[in-house]
Amino acid sequence: MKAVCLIAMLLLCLPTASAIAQDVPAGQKPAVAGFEDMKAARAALDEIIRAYETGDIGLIQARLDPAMIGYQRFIDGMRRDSTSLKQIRLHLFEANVTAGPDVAMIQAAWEKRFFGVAAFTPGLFTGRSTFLMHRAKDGWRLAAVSGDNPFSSESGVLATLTVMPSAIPLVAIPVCAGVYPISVELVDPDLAGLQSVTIEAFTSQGDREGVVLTAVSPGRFRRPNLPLCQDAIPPFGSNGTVEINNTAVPATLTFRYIDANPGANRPPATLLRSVTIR
Amino acid sequence: MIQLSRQAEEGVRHGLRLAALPGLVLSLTATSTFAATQLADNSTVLAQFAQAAGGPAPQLVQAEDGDTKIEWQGGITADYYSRSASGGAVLTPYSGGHYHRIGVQSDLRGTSPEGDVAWAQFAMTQTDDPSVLMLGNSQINTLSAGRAGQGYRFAVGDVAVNHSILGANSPLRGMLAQRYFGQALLSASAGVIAESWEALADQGRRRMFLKNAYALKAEMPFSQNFQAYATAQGFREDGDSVGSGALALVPTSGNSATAGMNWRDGRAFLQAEAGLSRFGEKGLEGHRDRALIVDGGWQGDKLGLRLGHHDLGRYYASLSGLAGAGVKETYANASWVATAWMSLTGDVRRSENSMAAPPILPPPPTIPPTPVTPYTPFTGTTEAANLRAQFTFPDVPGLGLGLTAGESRGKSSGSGGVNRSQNQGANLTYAKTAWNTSLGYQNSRQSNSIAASSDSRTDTWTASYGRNWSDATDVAPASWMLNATASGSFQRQHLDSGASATLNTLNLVVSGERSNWGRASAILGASRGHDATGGELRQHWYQVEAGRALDQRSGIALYIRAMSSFQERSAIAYRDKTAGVRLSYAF
Repeated sequence: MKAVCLIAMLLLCLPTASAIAQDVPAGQKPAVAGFEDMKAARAALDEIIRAYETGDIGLIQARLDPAMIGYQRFIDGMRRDSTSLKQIRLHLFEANVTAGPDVAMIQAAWEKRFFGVAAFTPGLFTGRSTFLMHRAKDGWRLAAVSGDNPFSSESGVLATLTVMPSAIPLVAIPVCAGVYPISVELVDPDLAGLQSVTIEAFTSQGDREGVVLTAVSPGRFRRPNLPLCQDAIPPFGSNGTVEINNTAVPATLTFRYIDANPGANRPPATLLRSVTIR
Repeated sequence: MIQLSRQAEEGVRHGLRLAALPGLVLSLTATSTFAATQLADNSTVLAQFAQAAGGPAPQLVQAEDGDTKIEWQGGITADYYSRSASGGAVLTPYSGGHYHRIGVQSDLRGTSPEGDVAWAQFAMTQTDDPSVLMLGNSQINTLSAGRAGQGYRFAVGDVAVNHSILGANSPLRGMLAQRYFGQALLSASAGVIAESWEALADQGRRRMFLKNAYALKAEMPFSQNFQAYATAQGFREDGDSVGSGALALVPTSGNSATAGMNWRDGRAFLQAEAGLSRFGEKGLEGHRDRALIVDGGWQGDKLGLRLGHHDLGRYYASLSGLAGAGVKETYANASWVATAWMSLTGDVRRSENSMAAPPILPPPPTIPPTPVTPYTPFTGTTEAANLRAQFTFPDVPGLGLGLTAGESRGKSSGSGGVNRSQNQGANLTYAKTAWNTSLGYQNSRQSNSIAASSDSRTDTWTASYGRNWSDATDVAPASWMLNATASGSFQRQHLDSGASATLNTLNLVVSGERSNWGRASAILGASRGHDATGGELRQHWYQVEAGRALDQRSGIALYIRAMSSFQERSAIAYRDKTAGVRLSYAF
């Protein structure tokens, strides 16, 4: 409601703004960016993308402002990418451009395809970013990447957690001890290079286990099944098996992962996926 | 706008209202001036646009009514192309088929006698190619309208909020108003952060929560050299804006306030800002955090110095894409023109990445299929230094040499892991009027004790030769020109595991243009090598494009491009080939 009031107030200001405006301080000039500016900003971004794909980190470094927040994390991440990911191809699509007098903000979805250096296994990361471009004396420069960072895997990309199926009939769960085919997949480009990652699984009945997913390609972790079984007694935590008390269903099995580095302008993000057992 | 995020139907109505606003606004400002519109084509620009077939749209209508000027720049391009593709979604973004792509853009402006500018900008893409638009077949790329003049600025639609580094620096779909009251500037913005206008109106096209946001700023100069400002901003993600189960994320909210200053006196400058924020995830414990940045410098005739310190808590939440959270860094940067033939740039910095450790330790692994490795490869503290030198040789005009060297060492705070990155390079260039050449060498060494599988040393050689021809003389411009550039790179990567990978690439680019004919370009390239497993890598690609003007307003271009990769290895083979025609028209 407050925002609606604010918008209404701003709208009211529109027709009267020019009438009541006072002299601007010296040096302030009204300016409106045009499509030429947007195109030039996009061309500068494309140049950086091509440099990243070819591993020309020196060119990118020369294009950055030394005062950029997270400069070294950005550069180091790109250098690690150029070492561990080969044949990088960054595909931008669904681009939107918002331009101000000396700033252009390019919102786009992206897909990054690559091959891991060790086994040459193909990988695919996706994300959505806002590229902040600032007009400098010598042209448009990349000021920051907000959201998922496609240039530097370790500079933050929001993870995705997928669990299938989302519901399990109790009758399908084996009696303890057994294994049930639940597919759990975590994609976190920040963790490219690790062989495994631990996420948390807990039930509404009080069981809590640490579940290890193994890497199938850089940054993509998966397991096809889970030690999941039913019994008529309350579960035991941290015993290596997710136990469902079949006298207290329906129950919920929840998987939780906290993405410590989900991208610029985003503090650590909690990802949850739940499976209903009835 | 707020209601919009809660109910899709209402969102559509709001979106339509918002889309209608630019027209209304412009109609208010431009009605009186449209009557006196006069056509004044700029034939040169039009011809260039048409020949470029997709280049910048020219100014099409220029009208003057006394001192008031109306400008309308617009263009439309239509592509029709056929593509064959193989390899699957993991290897290529392209799929086979016959596709079209239409792009429309319009930029309408009116300038009052006082210099006030009113504008309405619109750009849209319509296509059935899923590699351009994955969801839906049309998208508004830009939608903006507003008015700016002496002491005020107002905009609706896509607005770029650019208040401060730690406050708000983000695109919004909403509105922005700025106005000077005497010497004080007040700026206010409100709207929604959404993937696109279509996602704003249609829940089915959302892949992230709609984020309702506002931002305020007040700025006051206290002297000719000193300004101070304060900002306040906040956001709230709408958990109902995305279908249940579509996202694993928990909706978040945040508020922050900052205060900052800018000072400049002659050659010296200093800017600083401090902020406090509150961040929360729905149903979870909230966090308060703070941020501080200080950047200063001095610019002399031959020497430039930059110093700065940034300290942003990991839960610092703002609307600024510049404010990457969880960073603490201090840097010094200097540029020095030491002599007429040598300039040096040096940079040293120390940074701590507090995103290194997970905020909540994951539970001990109780269901482990494999032995567990440490949680994170992130570096806790990194120290880095870089030096770049550029030499010119007065005795040999056109000859230049660039040298670079850099190193960073990092230590993970929790796991004790060590990262190290070293790089050195040299690049020799020589340029004459009609040709240029370069030779470069880069060497880099990367190691990461936690993810050691890619520890390696990489050597890269690059070379290029370019030449241009034309009939230009001292008194007459060129009626034709031809450019050709051949380049090659040769890369070897030696992994510490003992394996090695190579990739050698050759590329030839030729482009030409003749007055009254048009222009054409061709690219031909190939690469050969092997990966670390010994598997052979073969790729080749080509691209040919030719375009010419049909008249002063329209142009046509034909193109064909293809890439073939690793066809001898079925598991990773992919290829695509596209042939199409593009028509352009300026209206």
